[in-house]
Amino acid sequence: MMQQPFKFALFCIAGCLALVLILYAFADKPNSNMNGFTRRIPPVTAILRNSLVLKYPAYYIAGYSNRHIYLGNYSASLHLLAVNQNLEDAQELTLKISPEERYAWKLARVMVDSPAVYMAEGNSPALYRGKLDDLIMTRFLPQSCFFNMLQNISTTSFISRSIHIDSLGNRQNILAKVKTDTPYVKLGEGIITKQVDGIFCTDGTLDYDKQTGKLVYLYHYRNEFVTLDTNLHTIYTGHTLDTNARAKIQVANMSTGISKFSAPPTYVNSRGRIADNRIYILSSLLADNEDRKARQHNEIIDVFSLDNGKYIYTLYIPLKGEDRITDFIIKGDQLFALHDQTLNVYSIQFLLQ
Amino acid sequence: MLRKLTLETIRLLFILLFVYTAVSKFLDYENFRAVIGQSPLLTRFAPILAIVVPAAEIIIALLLVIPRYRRTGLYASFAMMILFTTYIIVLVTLAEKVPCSCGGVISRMTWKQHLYFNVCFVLLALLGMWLHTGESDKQLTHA
Repeated sequence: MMQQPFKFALFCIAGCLALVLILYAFADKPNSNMNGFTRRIPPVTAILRNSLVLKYPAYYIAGYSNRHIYLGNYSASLHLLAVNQNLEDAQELTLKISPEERYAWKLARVMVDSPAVYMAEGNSPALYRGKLDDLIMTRFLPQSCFFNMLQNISTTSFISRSIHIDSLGNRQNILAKVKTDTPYVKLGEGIITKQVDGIFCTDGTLDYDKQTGKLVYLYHYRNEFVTLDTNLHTIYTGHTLDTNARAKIQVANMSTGISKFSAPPTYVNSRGRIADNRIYILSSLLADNEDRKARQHNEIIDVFSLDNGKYIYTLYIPLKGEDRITDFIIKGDQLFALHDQTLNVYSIQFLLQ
Repeated sequence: MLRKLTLETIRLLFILLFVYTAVSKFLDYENFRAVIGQSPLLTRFAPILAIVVPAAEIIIALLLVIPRYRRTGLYASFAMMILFTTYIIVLVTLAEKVPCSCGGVISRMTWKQHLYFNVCFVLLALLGMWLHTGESDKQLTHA
């Protein structure tokens, strides 16, 4: 009689394990099937030069100057960490702001564009500007609009991504140019295009290249990026290598007005950065002609020409631990990559063609 | 006496656990349905599971309340906890991280805390089942 519950327990464990494993076997796993595209192989592999373990988690890349890389922190809006190109000489800086200022600090993001530094928060909205020399931040650009992403393009103008609500009540992300003089806000209609819900399906990253004055908006869930000038005119629409022309996402709208994913989204591109007339796109997908295990030990960056959006070559960034790249920038022949709580610097070679 | 007290406590804890999580799932049903869909293992079955899981939790709680079905209730509780636990282990080791949809404050636990929490309840159920076998089977009916 004493044996019975334990027999039942063993039977239960075996049954449950089998059931869950069957579920797992039938689940859609990213990169388990062929993705239907090829990369140029062999890829160029970046070489790890230096590594710095950060004292705190939740950093992002705020920008760089000739000498330094600046990291902002999601959980401390006024904190800034500066390191030199060899990741030495770390300095912890604090932006100075009047204690009367009220803003949603969790949403505030710092942008460093030497010698200026900006802090932006799009829900109030609030914008602050200061100099890297003294870090004294003062409010400016009061005639702004709400935004969920901001990129500075000059000392007096910004490109924002905001939510536009049309006459039918449909919400959609839209790019806008925000300036210190009239018209303060100009909408860039039709640049970001809706496929599913208008918000999730249009999500992506924006980067600006000072040299050429071009911007690239890269979608997370489709194989597309848009190159723009600073007046929000589309120069061309480019495509990443994969075949996801339409965002594979499912969104549930709650009665509370909040939307949520209701299935795992197919993530295609995580970050786009421009440097030296090239667009560097961090991809989440494996090509058919790549080693199936390539992404376990590397991040894959596809490099495109900024002039016409044509694919040039692929760069592998070797991973030291498990942590994937959360953000990166390229400065000359160096690539700075943030892997959760580690900042790595890699040297990269260029391929001309 | 001690056996009886332990058994009653275990029973009560399970009733509380299942009623609490089931009710918070039903109260936040829209959200629960979306979030279990985000789990790569459950995407296809999300609409059915969103009803079956909290319903099963309520049924088990009822079984535990009714003296006649106490034993069945304990066995079912054990099976349910084992199912949740294997699900967590498989998900955390094999798949990528997904949000938890267990309901109420229990959703705020990290995966590790969740695992310990579940293992405790599995052991409690096992203890309950074992104590129950010791108890005379006369007044208990097999189901």
